[in-house]
Amino acid sequence: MGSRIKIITILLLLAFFLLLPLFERDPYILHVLIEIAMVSLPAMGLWLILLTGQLSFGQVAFVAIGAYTSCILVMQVGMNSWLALPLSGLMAGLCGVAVGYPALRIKGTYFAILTLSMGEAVSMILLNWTGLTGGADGIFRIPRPNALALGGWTLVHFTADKVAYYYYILALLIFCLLVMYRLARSHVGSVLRAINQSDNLAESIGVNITRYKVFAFSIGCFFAGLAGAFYTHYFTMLHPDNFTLWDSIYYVVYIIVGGANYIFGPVLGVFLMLGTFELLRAVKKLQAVTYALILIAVILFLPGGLMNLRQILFPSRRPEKEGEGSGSRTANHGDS
Amino acid sequence: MEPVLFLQAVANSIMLGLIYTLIALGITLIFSIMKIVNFAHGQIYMLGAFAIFYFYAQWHINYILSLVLSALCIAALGAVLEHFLFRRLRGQELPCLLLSLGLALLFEGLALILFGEKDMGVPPPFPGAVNVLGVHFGMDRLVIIFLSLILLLALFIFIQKFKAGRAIRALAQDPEAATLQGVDINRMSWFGFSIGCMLAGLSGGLLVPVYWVSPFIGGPAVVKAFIVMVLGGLGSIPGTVLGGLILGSIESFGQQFLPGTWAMAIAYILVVLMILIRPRGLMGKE
Amino acid sequence: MEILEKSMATLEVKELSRYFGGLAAVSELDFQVNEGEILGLIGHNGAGKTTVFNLITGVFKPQRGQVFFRGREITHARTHAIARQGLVRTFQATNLFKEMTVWENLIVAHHLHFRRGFFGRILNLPSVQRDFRESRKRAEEIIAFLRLSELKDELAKNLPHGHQRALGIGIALAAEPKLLLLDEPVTGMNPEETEEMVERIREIRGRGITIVIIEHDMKAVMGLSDRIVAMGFGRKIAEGRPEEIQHNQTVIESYLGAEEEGQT
Repeated sequence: MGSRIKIITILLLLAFFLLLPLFERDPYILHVLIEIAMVSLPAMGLWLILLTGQLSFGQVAFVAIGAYTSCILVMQVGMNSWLALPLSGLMAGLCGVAVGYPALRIKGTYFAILTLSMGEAVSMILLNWTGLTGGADGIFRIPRPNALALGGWTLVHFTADKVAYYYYILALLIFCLLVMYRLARSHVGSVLRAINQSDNLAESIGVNITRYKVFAFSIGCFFAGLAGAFYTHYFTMLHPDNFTLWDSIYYVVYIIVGGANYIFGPVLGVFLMLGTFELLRAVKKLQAVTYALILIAVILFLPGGLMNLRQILFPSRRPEKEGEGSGSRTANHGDS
Repeated sequence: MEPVLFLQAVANSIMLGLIYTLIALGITLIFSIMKIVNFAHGQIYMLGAFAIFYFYAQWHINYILSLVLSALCIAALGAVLEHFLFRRLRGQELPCLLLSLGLALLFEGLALILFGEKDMGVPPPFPGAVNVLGVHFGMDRLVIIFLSLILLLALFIFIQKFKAGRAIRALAQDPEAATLQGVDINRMSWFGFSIGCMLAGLSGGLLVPVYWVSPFIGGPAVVKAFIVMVLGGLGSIPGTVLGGLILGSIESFGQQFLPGTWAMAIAYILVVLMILIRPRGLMGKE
Repeated sequence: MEILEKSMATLEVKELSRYFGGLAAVSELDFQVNEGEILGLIGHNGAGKTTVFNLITGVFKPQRGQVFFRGREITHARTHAIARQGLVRTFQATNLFKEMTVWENLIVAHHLHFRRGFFGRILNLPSVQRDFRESRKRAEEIIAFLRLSELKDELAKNLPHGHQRALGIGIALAAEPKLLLLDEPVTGMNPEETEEMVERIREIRGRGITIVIIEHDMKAVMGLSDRIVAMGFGRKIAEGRPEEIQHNQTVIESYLGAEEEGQT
């Protein structure tokens, strides 16, 4: 039942967004959509990290790593931006592995503090390593993505016109969604879910928990890196202040609002919230306060909604029942 | 390094160190009682600073009186937050963490709307300088050191001698035993939370004269509190003081020797390493 | 794979010790488990039985002593590596993948037998699909074996207690262990369920799996075990056949003594 409707809906949405630039020419609207897609990537990455029950507050650091990597590769090494793209993602992913191996053994609050500090550390380093990043001055006039050419024919030119960027980020978004989908449905996804539900049980049947967590973490960082690389050549300028702790926290808000249960959750959350604030410029000032109130409200009144942060992937097939009749139980529960 | 600069850096280290200790003690206190890390601590520090701005700079109330007033206001805020918000989530680590983050975001957002973005200063309440051994020390910094020490001492006496303070300590060490002995966990929770917030607010108010106030000062403050907490160790007052002094020194001396804000970068890296290698800090108990 | 000499014990524990604070949770523990036997581990509450399981499986690090599994030392090995070698345990408190169905629990539990790495499995390569078929076969077998067929699609958290315990054992079986450590498998069950479970455990042994069982239900453990090791306050206080242990004064006294101290 649900399957066919889901597929049709997805195809319709896909068609809609693919054809959108044909009838919607307002560059501002395109810009908002581009931003939504771009911010969705690290949010989706965080979703993957959350799959194993670790809440990271340093995700934006990996966006920054991707952004600066692409900038350096293109501007100082002279690389083609299309080659720099996967390499930037890879760089972010590798940093994720490096950070993840020691960090993911730590759980809960300490992990939150750890990732928060780590994010801030990266921010500070970027601010101060002036040789690499231009420090507080920032980097300007970053080249746009190279034109896509095939045998002498230039297919896509990147200019100030938004349309080319729109399809670029859309392609990235679809790619990441596919990866998430495949991952979630694969055996690896089941194991990740299992780790989230009971890590000591998973260990007892032979799962190397750390390896799985690092894997999920690094893919999440990879997504963030891709977003960063796009960011660089879209805005054509970079400054360490563009990557703040609040960004990392916003990703969490997007996931919660969009629904932590679904693969489309993060995108939906970004779409609803970022979309609203970007389109209604008048209330932009209220963005932080609104995000905050929503976050607080969800936590206080929808503990189930937050519980879902821990049981991700597919929604429960059945609603929760009352415990089945305990006719066969003795008075002593036995869980000594 | 010139002896003059050195001594001034030392004085600065002590000043910053004590302030950071106070902020960290507030977070540690809240953590010991309620087992939650209050990510909004920095923004409460910021609100304390704004309170001083209004009481002292705008309404010309005596500085010390302003401090007292702001302490009371912030404490009241803390009590309200605990009673209406945190109490409902007692015992749930992740929701409380996110709640405190939400509050942090809320306070900073509100402050932005109400107070605007600009950095604002206050006139120095204790102008002038003192000459010790031929080195000039700003009076205001000395006063901060003095007041911080008094606060620390007061806190210490409170924990050791007063019934409420001992109850808080008992609760921190063994909640079950404490409740059995009649400690009212509800009362102690809001009380502890209030005091924790009050410490943050007072720290903000104390530093305003030598720095500035803006809605953005909260973020760095709470991260520094974490640094102190992680370095010194949870649950250890001497550890927290040690951690505070270490951080104060890194920042103070770092500014002299290292360009830009490398000192802070080092501090953050230190935290990351600490958590990985020795989570319980230099003197922590857990 | 090593060729196992008939005389080599499946599990050997030597002078195993673990202290928490100043207290000895387990102290100088020595015992062996031979291939194909069922060893019962009994003792009052707090005697250290589950701690022994935790030490053997790498959840806690022993401070003294050694553990050998099929000739190989596993004293400091990590839990998942130990499971990979064929040593699997169940848990005293019900431990399941609660948000998954019975079926899903068992498929995931067959994890060790997927040969491909991350990317191979994400791409769902043909070899992975073959592994899945294996897992499905195995899950069917275990479900039939544990009489859980009707509950195949129930969420683990919704199962009645007895079936949850059975699933716990099923999960361990899916890992295809050579040595199975059962921690209180029948605690909390009524007499019928207990009898069922005891039968199942016998059948598991019948398939060649060596078993160590912690239990408080004396009837069950005496009936099942070939040999018994009795613990008291972290130490081994007796070892022998069930008949011998039942009449062993020291054992009886340790239970009574523990009762007096308010431990039972």
